[in-house]
Amino acid sequence: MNILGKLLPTTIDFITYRSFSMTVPLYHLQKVSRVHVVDNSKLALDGNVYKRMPRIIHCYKKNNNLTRTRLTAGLGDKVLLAIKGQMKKAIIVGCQQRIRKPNVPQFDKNNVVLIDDDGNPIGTRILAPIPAFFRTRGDLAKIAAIATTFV
Amino acid sequence: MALSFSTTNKFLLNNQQILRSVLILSVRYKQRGHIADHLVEHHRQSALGKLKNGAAVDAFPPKDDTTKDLRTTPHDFKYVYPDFLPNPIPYLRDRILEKLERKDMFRRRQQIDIPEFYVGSILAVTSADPYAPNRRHRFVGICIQRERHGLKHQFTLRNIVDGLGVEISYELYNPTITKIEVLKLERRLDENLAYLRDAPPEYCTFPFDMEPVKLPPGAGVPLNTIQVPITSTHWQYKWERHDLKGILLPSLPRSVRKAAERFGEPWRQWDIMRQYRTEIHDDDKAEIYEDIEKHKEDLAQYRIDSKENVKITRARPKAAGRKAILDNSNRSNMSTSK
Repeated sequence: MNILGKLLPTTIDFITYRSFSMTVPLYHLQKVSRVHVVDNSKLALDGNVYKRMPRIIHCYKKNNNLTRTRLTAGLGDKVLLAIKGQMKKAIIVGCQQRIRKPNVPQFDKNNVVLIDDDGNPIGTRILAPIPAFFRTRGDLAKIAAIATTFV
Repeated sequence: MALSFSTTNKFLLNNQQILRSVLILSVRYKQRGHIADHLVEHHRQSALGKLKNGAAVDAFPPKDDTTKDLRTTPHDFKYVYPDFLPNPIPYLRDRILEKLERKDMFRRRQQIDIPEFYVGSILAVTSADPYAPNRRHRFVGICIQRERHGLKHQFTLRNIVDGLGVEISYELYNPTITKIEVLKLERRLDENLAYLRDAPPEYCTFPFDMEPVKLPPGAGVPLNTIQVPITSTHWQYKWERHDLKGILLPSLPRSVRKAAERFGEPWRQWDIMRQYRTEIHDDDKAEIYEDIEKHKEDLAQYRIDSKENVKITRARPKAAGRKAILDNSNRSNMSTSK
């Protein structure tokens, strides 16, 4: 192993000498990602039991440098869903991706709330806990208003 | 077992591991007469191996003595303060940075009480949230992992809120954290409870209004020997491959079990050099221990001198309200008019 250590780049040492880590892999949301809608709107209730799970088909994410981040979406981002054969905008309310920021939670499921083109949620209630930072951002205030639990 | 925190993911067969295995195979191909590790192990355990090698084959490490009382944890500072332990990899260490970080860590510990807790303990963390109704955000959960060294030390709490599993990762020395309470102090058989994600929800559901469980004074940290069943159909990682003692695996197909055996590298338990590399040198530990002891003395002195204990005597009378000021001015006007 020591001989190998000299031949190979230093990154290999990490595997030889370090024990395992359980940090969660990147579970960001992108096109074709399947999500679960946590609204109480009719489209959400029908869409969740439709033959195909609601899927993200576009991520609206402004990014100045054309890097990979604009192809992915996380908590609080607006996306375009294909739900029950129609297109609908939505906001990501729960993501499996682990964000290394203070107090930003990570959820077991990828949850989403349907909105119309103005940004108003279609449903009247959200049936899942919402991250607390939704209260801080102005564009997510409408969703925070109809939320029941904050995590 | 040494506590070690790292960022590579052994659960995943990522590109680095594939590269490693390919490179090792390519090097070993050149070494003549080399037999694959898992085959060596297989023969070592076989009857023929026993006949040939004799007593060495039976020299397995002693099994866990079930009669020994595992209820108390050694009160070594490396278990109580794992955040003070430096990175075991020497060329990633910066001793001046460590010293400065330790100073900051002690200063933070003067402000709030950072209790002793372990992976498997149930914590309640209150952090400042300006947009919450009472300016505070409280989260209760079971600590599933502790990672990073020094000031960056983080711990992750898991709980199931309204049927949805939530995990929040907190930095231990984040100044926005106002309170860390240990509701239930205990240890588990593993140092990482990521498998709770694939376990039934009752194993990680804790009510937010949970009462703290008080231990009798002088008692050690209890060890919870619970075996969590893995019931999920889709596993996040291949739990059978990692030597996790706190789980109850379902019956697995033979191929999976064989692969797990090969992956496990059973000879690693005798790899004392590897264990040496994950440990911290005694001289470094002694230095850290000295600093911690000094901090404890300073903390005691700080608590005596702190504002709560010293009564503040007012030099001026307390500022009066608007009405009192008006009354005073009226009275003075009246007196001057007279």
